[in-house]
Amino acid sequence: MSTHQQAQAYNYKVVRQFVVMTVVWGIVGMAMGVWIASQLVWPELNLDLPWTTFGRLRPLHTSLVIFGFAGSAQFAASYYAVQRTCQVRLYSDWLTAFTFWGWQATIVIMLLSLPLGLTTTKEYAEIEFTGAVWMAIVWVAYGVVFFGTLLRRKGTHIYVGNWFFGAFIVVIAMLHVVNHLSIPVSWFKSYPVYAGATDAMVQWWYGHNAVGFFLTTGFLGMMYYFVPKQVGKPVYSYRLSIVHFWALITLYIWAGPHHLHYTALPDWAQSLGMAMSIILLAPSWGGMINGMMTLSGAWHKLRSDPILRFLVLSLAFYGMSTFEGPMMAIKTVNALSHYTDWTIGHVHAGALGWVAMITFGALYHMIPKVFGREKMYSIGLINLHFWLATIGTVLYIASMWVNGITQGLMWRAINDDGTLTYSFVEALMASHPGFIVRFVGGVCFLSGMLLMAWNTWRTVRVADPKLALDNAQMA
Amino acid sequence: MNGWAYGLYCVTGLVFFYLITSACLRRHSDQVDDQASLIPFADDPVVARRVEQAIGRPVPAEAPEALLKA
Repeated sequence: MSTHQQAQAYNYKVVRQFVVMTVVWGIVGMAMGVWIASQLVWPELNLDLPWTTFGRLRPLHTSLVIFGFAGSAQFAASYYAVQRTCQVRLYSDWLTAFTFWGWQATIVIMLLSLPLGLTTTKEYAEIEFTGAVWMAIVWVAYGVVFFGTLLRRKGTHIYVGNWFFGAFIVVIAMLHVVNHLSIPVSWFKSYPVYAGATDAMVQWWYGHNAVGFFLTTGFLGMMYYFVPKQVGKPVYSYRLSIVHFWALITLYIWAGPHHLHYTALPDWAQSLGMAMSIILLAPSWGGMINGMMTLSGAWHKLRSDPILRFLVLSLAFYGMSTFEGPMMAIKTVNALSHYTDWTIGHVHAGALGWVAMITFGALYHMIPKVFGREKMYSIGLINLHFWLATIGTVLYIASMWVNGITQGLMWRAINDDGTLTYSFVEALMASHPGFIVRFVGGVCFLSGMLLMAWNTWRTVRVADPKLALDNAQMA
Repeated sequence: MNGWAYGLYCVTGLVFFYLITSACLRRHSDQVDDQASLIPFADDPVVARRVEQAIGRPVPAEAPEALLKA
């Protein structure tokens, strides 16, 4: 590519890099998930080694799928969409490259440090001090690239998808820095500046908004770009998308205390978190309906387009899990559901059904364009992936519902004299069939991911550099 | 936190949402919204033509290959 052409073209190199790493981290992270699911079925798979115990691999699984898979997907999608909607190349090639290599280094730090037991013990924020500082530096660079590109846009209006990406970047920076405020005693050991109930509140303010902003807001940005593009119609209501944005931003940040019901957290904070969680149903469903209704008059396309099927099913799961979440935030429901497998099922309804499925749809849309192909190598394989992912998700969440309700009821059952009816081990034995079904669901989902990797490899291997260059030229 | 501060806290959130949303929508006529919703197609003439057929309105899009010849 000549210097002139390169200056005119979109920066697809970094999008290609993030797309490939999304698939790679997806496989590694989900394989880790299947492994720890199998440990709950066959405990001997902990291998009697400290590095491979459930306690160390579980945070590694969540870190790899959240930051490696979902993070790389959002880097790829936001870099792709912001260039195309602003019709300019990404701001600063070297800073953009730094965000790619810097982010991969962050994931490698997690991959090495978590099995060694180096952890803050804060859920979804386990990366220890030095890694957390490095992560913040990379994130600031990401913000500079994204907002620098927005500032150079050709039109005056900022497309609503970019509002969601922008909010995701700003809020995650704030959450990460505040939750990681700590005093280091070595490179990989630190103590938080907060204590007791305050520490718990800050952690779950972070934890819930990691879901709200890392696993929702950025993916809504993805939805507002890729659903209209794949359907071939503008979003159903642009006005609703703006109301959706501000309602989501206003409400999500208050909902964290529902993770701390019936704890030492002040009662008013618990009730506030519950109330805000219930109100949150409105913007969540507003966005879901806006995405779904974009298909008005084009529903027939679902028959022949498995990519669109992924996008639409992701919205269906988004609607389902954002209904389930507020219900579980009600204190009386939470008294049954909390600490049970129901929570794990709820998280995976969102993670597999919403986050992963919309990522698959967006990746299958982007891969041919950024690698210079007319379409993916095999549409049949996309279809097979769709069914494996759907069956896997349904098996996963159904088994966890059954387990969760079983566990909740068994734990609370008491005899006439006030003693517990069941021991913990009895509840654990009752959960074993559910663990097996969850493992099978995970294997199905991972198999779909492997098919995607094969399909991507075959598409990339025969990529046409000329067509990729054509696609990258700006209007 | 006493009852008044709690109430004020909640009302502040509500007022923020109302004011910011109103401010964002103030100059948004239906025409502005229609044009903004077409931004994803503005650099993709092939898809833009299909969108035109689907919605029955013109979709402005610039041909990317024009720069290839530069």
